[in-house]
Amino acid sequence: MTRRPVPESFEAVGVRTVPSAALGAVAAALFLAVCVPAALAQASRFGGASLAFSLGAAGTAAALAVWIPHHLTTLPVLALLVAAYLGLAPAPGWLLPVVVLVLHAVLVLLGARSTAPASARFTTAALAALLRAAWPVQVGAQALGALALAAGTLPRGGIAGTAAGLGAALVAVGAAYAAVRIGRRAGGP
Amino acid sequence: MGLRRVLRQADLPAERGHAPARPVTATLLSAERSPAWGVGVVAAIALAVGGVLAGRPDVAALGGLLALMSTGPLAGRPPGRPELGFGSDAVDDAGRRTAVLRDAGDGSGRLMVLRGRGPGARQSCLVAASTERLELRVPLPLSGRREVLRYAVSTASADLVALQDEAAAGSLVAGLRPLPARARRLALPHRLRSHAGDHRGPLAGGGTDTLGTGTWQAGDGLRSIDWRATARSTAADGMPVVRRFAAPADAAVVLAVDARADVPTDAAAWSRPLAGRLRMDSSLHRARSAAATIAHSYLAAGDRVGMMDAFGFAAPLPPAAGHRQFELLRRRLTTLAVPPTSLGPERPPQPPPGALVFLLSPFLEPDACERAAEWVRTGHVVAAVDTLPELDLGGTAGMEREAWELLLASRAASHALLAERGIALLPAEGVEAALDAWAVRRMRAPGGPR
Repeated sequence: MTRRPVPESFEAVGVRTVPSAALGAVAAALFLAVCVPAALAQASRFGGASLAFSLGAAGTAAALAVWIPHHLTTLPVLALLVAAYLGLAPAPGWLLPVVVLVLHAVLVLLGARSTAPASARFTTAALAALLRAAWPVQVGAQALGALALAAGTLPRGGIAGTAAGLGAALVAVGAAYAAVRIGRRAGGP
Repeated sequence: MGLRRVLRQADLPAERGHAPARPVTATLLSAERSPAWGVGVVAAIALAVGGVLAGRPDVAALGGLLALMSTGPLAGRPPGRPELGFGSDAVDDAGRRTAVLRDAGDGSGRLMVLRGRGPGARQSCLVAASTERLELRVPLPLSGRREVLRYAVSTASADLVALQDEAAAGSLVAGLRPLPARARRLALPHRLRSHAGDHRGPLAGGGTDTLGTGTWQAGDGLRSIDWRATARSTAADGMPVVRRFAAPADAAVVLAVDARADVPTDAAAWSRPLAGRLRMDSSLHRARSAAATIAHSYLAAGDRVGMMDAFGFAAPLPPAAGHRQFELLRRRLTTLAVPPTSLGPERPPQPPPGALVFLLSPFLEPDACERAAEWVRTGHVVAAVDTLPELDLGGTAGMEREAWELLLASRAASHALLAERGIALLPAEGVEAALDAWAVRRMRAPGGPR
């Protein structure tokens, strides 16, 4: 008995599409780009077992990101990314913008995958809409990171520095919210 | 709060052979926050708390990113109104038709997620921007009315924090009417010629219904000259005007279709859905094509043609003549489907007295052959049209294979019984040539046409 390929139920005409798995692969690659250096740094301090554990966790999360497009996949991936950032202590100042960018990209890519089954294909216009919606948030987050770094480096961290960072975050969130409301009000500036 | 509405698909032109699509029910729901939003909020709170406890403002800044993303749904999202329907009525070489997906809302940046499954195909899914007007190629059946796509469309805001789970759902239904061929010679029972019918043919002849008038030509009888019309005529050549009458057409032809099974070429696809089943040649497709060809040929000759289910599962269409009857027959053939029950009426259906009956059946069960023999006994001229396509048993194995071999043996016995009763067996594939040959055989038979 021969297995025949099952055809698609419909095919889009005249548009370029990207498979959902490709988005997962990009998310996994970005994720590993942060996690693998962190795992190597961990190994230099805690030995081979730590390296194996970190790489195993990162590999598992990357596999999840590629094969299981689900909202719950996002949570362990984000947690591991933050853990990797914390593992690169003392983290250099330039690392925060990179991690903010990667965190955001992973969140958007995995979130997009979660809206559709694994077999879905995204049109390039849909990906462009995702990027358009993401850039104001990314700019706001980078500004927030710069504020937090500035607030954190002066008193060298501590409760006061963190409170200053959180305050800056709240100001940025409030500003973004106000901008969205004003921008969407009919007749607004 | 849900708002139900009905999207009516545009009626498709009949001359292209497509039945109108079924109205599609769509549900519009207000946008809800997506699970991604929940993930962002949980992670933001965890990072803020962690940052405070660890004295790391940079960690709190990471939480700020997620908090920024969570502000999106506070502004609210207008509900989208994605619609899917057939666009152009053109069918490409691969037998596919174009359906159009578009958002009838305000066109603001959203994503439309279309999921659909057609018969014998795998689920396809496409994520598009709401500003796009997407053309999709959907495979159609060879003939008949079928649901070709069952679909659901959900929408999501482009920042992925608001979801509309089922913005539209429904199905696309396409119906392809069979295309007829035309036979040159037609078998006509001799005794039917002596039964003057109450209908008229399209050709001039010796009937009583006036077909029109015209100038006298060689062959027109002197008695047909209309002297009053000739006196009023201003024709320069002075030729008399004759009145022409329609020829009576006598034969009533009944197409008896056995639609109890729709057997595809690939025998394995009969019992389970397989790839390409939609575009596979099948016994019902052959029955539709052969019946359309027979009906077209006899109706073009001015005869009356009717249709009935050979086992009484559907109401009969009484014999009548004319182009309208042909369109009615094609419509009936398009909607021809396997009956949902095997319990037919107790009293078997009977064709009109003296009719020429074409029994179209795959002859997988002996009762089809017995039905033909019964009609011969009641004085009908019966021809059997074999609608079973050439079977490929390669996909079957074990007991399924043995069951098929038994069915084919039973079919061979039915063919032998038909031959024994003198019932002609015509193939459905190329039935126009078979009709021609059968007509010649009947004319050359001893004693003339019977």
